[in-house]
Amino acid sequence: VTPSAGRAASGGSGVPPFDRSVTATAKVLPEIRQSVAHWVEPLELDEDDLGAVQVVVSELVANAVEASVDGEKVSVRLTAAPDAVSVEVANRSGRTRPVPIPPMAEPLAPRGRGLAIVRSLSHDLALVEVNGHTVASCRVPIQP
Amino acid sequence: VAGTGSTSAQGGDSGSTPAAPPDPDPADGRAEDDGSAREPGAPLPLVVEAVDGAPRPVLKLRGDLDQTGAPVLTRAVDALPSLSDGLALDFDQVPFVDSSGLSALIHVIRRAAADGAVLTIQRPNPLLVRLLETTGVDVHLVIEPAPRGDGA
Repeated sequence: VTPSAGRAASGGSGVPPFDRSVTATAKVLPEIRQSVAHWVEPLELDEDDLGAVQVVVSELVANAVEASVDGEKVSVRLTAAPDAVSVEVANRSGRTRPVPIPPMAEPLAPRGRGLAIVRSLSHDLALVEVNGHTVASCRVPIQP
Repeated sequence: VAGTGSTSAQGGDSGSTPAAPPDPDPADGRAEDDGSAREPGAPLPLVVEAVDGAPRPVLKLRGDLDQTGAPVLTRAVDALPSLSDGLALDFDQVPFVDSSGLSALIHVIRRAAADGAVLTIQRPNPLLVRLLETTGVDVHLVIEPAPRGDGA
C-alpha cells in the first residue's frame, strides 16, 4: 500500500481501516473492545467518544454473535474520518429482506435495548442484507 | 461466590480474597489494579465489594459491567438479604457498561423496588449517564455525582 493509497483508504484521518473477522462467540466481545481501543489511539478520542465507539461496536458485535450459529464468522470494519468513526458489522444470514430496527424497549424491560443504544450514540444506523449477510452500519460522531 | 455477610464476587478466577473484609482504602497497595495503570480499553473482569462503615449498604464495583460482569453484579446483589435500607452502587472504577450491564442494573432496580427502596448510582462516568438517560432508566434510580479526586 502506497502512502497515498493509505490516506485515501483512511477517510482523511490518516488511520488505516480496522478490519477483523472473528468467530461468533460471546468471548470475543472484550477482545474486540480492546482491539478497537488500540485502533482508535491515534485519533486521541476523549473518554466519552472512546466509550461511545466501544459501546456501539460491542452492541453490534453482540447482536451479530447472537444471530450467528457457533463457528460462523462475524466481520468488523471501522474507518475513521475527522468527525466520525464509521462502523460496519456483518454476519451470515438466511434473510432476504431488509431487517427492521426494533423500537426502544420499555425502560425496565429486562433486555432489548442494544440497538436503541447504538442509535442514540450514532447516526445513520442501517441494517441491510448483502449477499446473504446482515450488515449493520452506522457513524459514531467524534470531536474533531 | 458471594457471601451474605461481606459481599464479594468477581468475574475472573484469581486474585481475590472473598472472605476478607473490604480494604478501607482501596487505592492503598493496589496501584497495579486500580484501572489507571491498565492499558486503555483492556478488559477488566468485574469485582464487587461491600463497603464497610457506610450509612447505608454500598457495593463498590471495579471493572467492566458487560456480558461477563453483569451476572457478577446480580449475584452480589442477590446475596444481600434485603435492600430495604436502600443500596448504592459505586461506579467510580467502572470504565465500561453495555446493554447487558444495563440489564443487570434493571434487575437491581426491580429488586430494590420490591423491598420498597430506590437504587443509587454513585460516580458514574459520562457515558453511563448518557446510556441511562437514553434508555429512560435514569428516572428509576438516583444518580449521585460525587466530587472527583477524593483519593479513591
